[in-house]
Amino acid sequence: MIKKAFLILLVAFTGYVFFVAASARPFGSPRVVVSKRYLEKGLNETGSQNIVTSVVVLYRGFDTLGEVTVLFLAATALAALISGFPFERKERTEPSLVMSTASRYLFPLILLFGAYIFVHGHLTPGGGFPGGVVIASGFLLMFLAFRKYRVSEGGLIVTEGLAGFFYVLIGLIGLYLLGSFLASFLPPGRLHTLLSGGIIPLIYILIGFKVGSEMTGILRSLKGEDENG
Amino acid sequence: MVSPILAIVIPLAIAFLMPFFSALSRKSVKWVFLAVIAFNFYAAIMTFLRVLSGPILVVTAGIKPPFAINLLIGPLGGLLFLLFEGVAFLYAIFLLKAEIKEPVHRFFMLFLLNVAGATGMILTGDLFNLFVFLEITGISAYGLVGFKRDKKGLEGGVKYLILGSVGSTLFLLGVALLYSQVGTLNMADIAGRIWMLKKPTLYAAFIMFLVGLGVEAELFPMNAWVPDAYEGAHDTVTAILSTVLSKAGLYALIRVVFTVLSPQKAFLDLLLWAGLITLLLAELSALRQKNVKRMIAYSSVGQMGLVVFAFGMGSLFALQAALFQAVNHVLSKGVLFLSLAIMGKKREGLELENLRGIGRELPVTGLLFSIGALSLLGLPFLSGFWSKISLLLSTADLKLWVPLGLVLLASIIEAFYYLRTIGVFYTGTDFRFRETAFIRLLPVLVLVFVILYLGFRPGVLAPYLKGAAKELVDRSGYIGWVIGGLKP
Amino acid sequence: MTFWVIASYFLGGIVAYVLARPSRKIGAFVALLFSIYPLYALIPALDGGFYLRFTVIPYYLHLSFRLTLLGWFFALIAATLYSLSLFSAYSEKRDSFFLLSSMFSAGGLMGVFLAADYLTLFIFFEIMAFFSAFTFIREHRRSALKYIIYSLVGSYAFLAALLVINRSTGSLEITPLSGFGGSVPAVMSLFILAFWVKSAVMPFHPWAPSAYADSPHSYTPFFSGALSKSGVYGLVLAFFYIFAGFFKSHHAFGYIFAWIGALTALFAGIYALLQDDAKKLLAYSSISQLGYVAFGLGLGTSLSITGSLFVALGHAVFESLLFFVIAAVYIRTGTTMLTEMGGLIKKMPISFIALLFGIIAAAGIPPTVGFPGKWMLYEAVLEKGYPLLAGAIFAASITAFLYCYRLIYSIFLGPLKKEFRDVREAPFPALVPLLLLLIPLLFFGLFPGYVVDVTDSILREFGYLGVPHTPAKLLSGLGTFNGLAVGITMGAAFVIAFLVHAVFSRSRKVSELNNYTAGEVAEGVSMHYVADFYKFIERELHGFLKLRVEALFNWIAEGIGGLGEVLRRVYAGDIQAYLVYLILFLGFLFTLYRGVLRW
Repeated sequence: MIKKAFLILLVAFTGYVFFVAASARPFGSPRVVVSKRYLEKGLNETGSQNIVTSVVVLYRGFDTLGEVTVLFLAATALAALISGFPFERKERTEPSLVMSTASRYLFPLILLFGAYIFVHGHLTPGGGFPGGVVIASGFLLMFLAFRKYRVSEGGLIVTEGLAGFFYVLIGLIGLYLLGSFLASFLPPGRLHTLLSGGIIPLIYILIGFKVGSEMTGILRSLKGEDENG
Repeated sequence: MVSPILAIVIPLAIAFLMPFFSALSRKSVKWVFLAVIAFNFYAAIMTFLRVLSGPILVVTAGIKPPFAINLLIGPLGGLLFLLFEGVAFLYAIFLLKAEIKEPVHRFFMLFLLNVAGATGMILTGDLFNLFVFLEITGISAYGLVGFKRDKKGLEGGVKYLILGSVGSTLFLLGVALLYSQVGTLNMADIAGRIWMLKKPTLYAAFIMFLVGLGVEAELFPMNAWVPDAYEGAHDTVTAILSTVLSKAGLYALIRVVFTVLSPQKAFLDLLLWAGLITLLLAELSALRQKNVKRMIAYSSVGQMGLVVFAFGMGSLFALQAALFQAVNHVLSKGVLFLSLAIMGKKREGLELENLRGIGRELPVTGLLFSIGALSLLGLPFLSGFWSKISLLLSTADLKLWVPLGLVLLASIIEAFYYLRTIGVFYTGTDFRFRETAFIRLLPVLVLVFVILYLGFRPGVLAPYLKGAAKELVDRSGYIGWVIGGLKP
Repeated sequence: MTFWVIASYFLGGIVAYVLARPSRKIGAFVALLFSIYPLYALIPALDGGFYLRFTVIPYYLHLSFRLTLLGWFFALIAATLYSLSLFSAYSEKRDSFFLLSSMFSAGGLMGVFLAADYLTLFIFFEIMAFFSAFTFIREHRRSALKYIIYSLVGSYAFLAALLVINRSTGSLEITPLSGFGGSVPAVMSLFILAFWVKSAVMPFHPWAPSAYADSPHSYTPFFSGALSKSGVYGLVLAFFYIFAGFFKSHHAFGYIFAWIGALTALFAGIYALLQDDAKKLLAYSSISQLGYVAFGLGLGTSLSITGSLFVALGHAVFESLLFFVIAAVYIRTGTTMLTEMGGLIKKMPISFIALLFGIIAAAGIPPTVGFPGKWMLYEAVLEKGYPLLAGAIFAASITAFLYCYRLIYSIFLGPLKKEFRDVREAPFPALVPLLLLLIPLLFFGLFPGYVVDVTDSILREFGYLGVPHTPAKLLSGLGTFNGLAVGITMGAAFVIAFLVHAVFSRSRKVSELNNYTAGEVAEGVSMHYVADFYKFIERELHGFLKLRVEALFNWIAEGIGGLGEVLRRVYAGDIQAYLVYLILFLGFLFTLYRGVLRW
């Protein structure tokens, strides 16, 4: 007990030190050179109305590729680790009719909404990651609503694999055409319309698919169907 | 010319496609893996040959740093790049004949991502990008360690997972701290603006980085996961953990301390003592260890401590010696873990008692193991000797007599347990000769050849080590390379 | 040429290793050829040194060699003994790895003698230590490890000294050090530790008995006779060349060292009495003899240094001879235990003769190589006027008589054991070293002046006066020794005694079990009282024998091991403990930097 209290104290203290260190200069003061440039030049440079998106997909696009990989890995590693632990299956009762019927109608709408989010990533808040998660939430609903709902593993793997591969491929095309990886080789297009932002929409669509399938895969393996589903 | 960035993204792309290859033909997976790593090796050689004439700046998204992410490969990056891809290539050859638990394609996928992550860590010029690759490397490593899904593997994997996550979180906190103060994530840019930091911030960031990266760099007391993870993991995984991963973590730590934060005396002193304590504790722990793999795991920790200690001395000579020692550690540990893997196939368990006479049964493997171990101990005319003597000479240059004595003490302890192991390997006579397949010996042979070659011609590494050490010491040079706008 | 002296061993080791795999004979023959070349190259003596350049990062290191007279003296001894040991090894049917590691150890030893800078010395010292341990690590792991750890402690101490010297003078060349302040005693202590250990002078001897006893029997003569000389070489170099200034101006140091040497000679002699294993007995005898050497070096007069070098040579001759005899006996009997042998005189007469001359020399009786050196040491200590030291060293020579007698009695005299009834003389190759070593044993005993010629030149290099001598005669301040005259006298006495024995002897041959007490036959009790030979001495010295320095070293080793056992538990915790370590470390760092972090 004393040990725990001591550790909690120590952790709190870490937080305090961090706070002291971080408050030396308040966050977002004018020194932030890099973000200033994003705000000033971002729109014209990338053609993306949503500056956050242009930062995520272009300026720091390499990070995003990495993050997608992290997610992919987490799904894979989780599957690998989870299959090592014996989980007890709890018998669940079949959900009510209201639930299953509503889910059946909601599911396509959720998918559509997710797709909307990632297609419009360069125009409105959102993008590939939230879009993908929304799609996965649709599958979660189906998992909850139907005991026997199955998602084929092959389909998920094909989707996430191809999406990832095409993501890299787009980057490589940029490298080939413009000499730098993930360079936007498409024209910025007409600002503020769907067809703008160069390669941003393409990448966000791929990310949407990838995240959607990966999150679904994680849900699926948490559900414990990896071995015999 | 091959862009170094390909060595990161091609493995990523192929890793995504691994399930397809697996569906196509189960056997093709390891060959695809080998091909990708071979490509990486090729890229590394090409890069390595160019870094001496000038650093390579690679920008992404067509926007120049610090606004977009860039890679920067100087002599240090080039050296480690070649080293990483070289040993990874040898491991890939070794894996051709390895028994791997299903699903095989997932193992190779994780392995590929692991190599890609480690490569990314040493090539990137962006602090947050470094974090991303740290995560890729880390998570794939957790998966690899736990891949066998037996008790030991899972235990090691989970321990590594928990400590690793805490470590990378702390690292992220450090990055956030810096970003909140200077408003940029580019390492060179931060380095140029480090004067903007108040002292508490600088120190707090250092602490976060040290503890966070210390997990990967195997510094005491963050290294407690090492023995379990090394022991539980598949042999080749242990080899890559010990050689590539630990060096990647170390590189990150060194890069952050030397280039980004500026090497304050206090930081270096802390590195020095942390390294020294790590060394002593690890060697002492190895002394009574019965399991050979675990023993070498401790020794690996100890060597990392030695390298960190040398970095902590901070002089130009000491940095070169530290890098040389790191190179030798990679070579020796590669030999040790791979040859131990070959031995493990012939016997049940890797307890010292079970390995009696294995050197008679597998004469070539036994000899290679012995050479690897002796190089680590610093037998003259093996490459480990030259790095150790350089390291000690730099210690003496700085008049660090007490650490010098402790390092020598640790060396004696190390000599004892390695020689005991070698002695056991050759005890007894009634053993049948049954050497393993040549293809599995080949990677070990190559490593031993390098050890011997460097033992007689240590000078060939000279310009690279010197360049790399200069890169670490000369901060403004590094900043100039990136911000000064080298032609991409 | 100097290069090939060293390279020949390494090259030969590899070639012999390869060739010995298909055929042991060819391997051994090739090894012999490669080991004879250095001998051939060394005998005509001196030429210049050479450099091997190693550009090592970050330091530009090179290996350099030179042939000094001192190095030549020891190198010649070593090369001779190594070649001889190969004959014996051939009879023992040693395998390829033995050839490799013993050749490498010999090459390392040569490198030590020919090194012109500290780093080279260190490198070859390491090679020698490692590969000499490898000759027996396979069969006797414990003693090999013990040996290597002692060696490493010594050589790392030397390394530390080397680093200090390099730091303060900026050079690694072996040159006299003109002091750097008060740290000289510390540096010198570190410096000589390696050689102290290697020459097994007390209290750093515990590795020697087990290592000598457990090393291959054909290798032990070289091990004891030549490898230990690297220690003597280093001590000479340290006292009279590198730290000569300090040594000359601090007599207390030399005096203490002389005492250490004298006590080593005495105590090791006493321990030798009590050993049941012939090789252990000889091991302690070897330590005792090197104690004489250390004693002479500590005294630091011309006469004593000459004496020391002479004893070093003598030790190389007779101690190796004795070990070679044991090796020969072992080939036939399969044992080295004194308690298991006896009466082999008729079966192995050549070995007997060799052993006889060996022990005569070991006991320091003229006209053998064992005497002149000791004579010079006695004269030197008397000249110096240290009565207590003289007492100790004389007492040590008594022990030599006692253990020598035990050796020859237990093995060759007394009744023959049943199981050795069919034993033959050792195979010819194993006898070659015995016969060849008898030549210097007698020749240098009769004509010590030829050795003193060399030692005089060495001494003059160090700025000492020589010892006046003619080929057969040595002169000291107190008297004269004429080896030839003594030899003729002794020879004549021996002939007369032998004639008397032949004419008047009335001995009776009895079997081992043919004995009776008080008129009653005691069945199955051996008459050969080899066990507990010196029981009475053991009883008297009971309390003293319990004081063993091994106990201290073992205690330290156990302590380190125990510490390891405790620390190992640090890593045996669960993940919560590991997290606690991490958090505590964070807390520690915050505390460490509290000044900067301002809390």
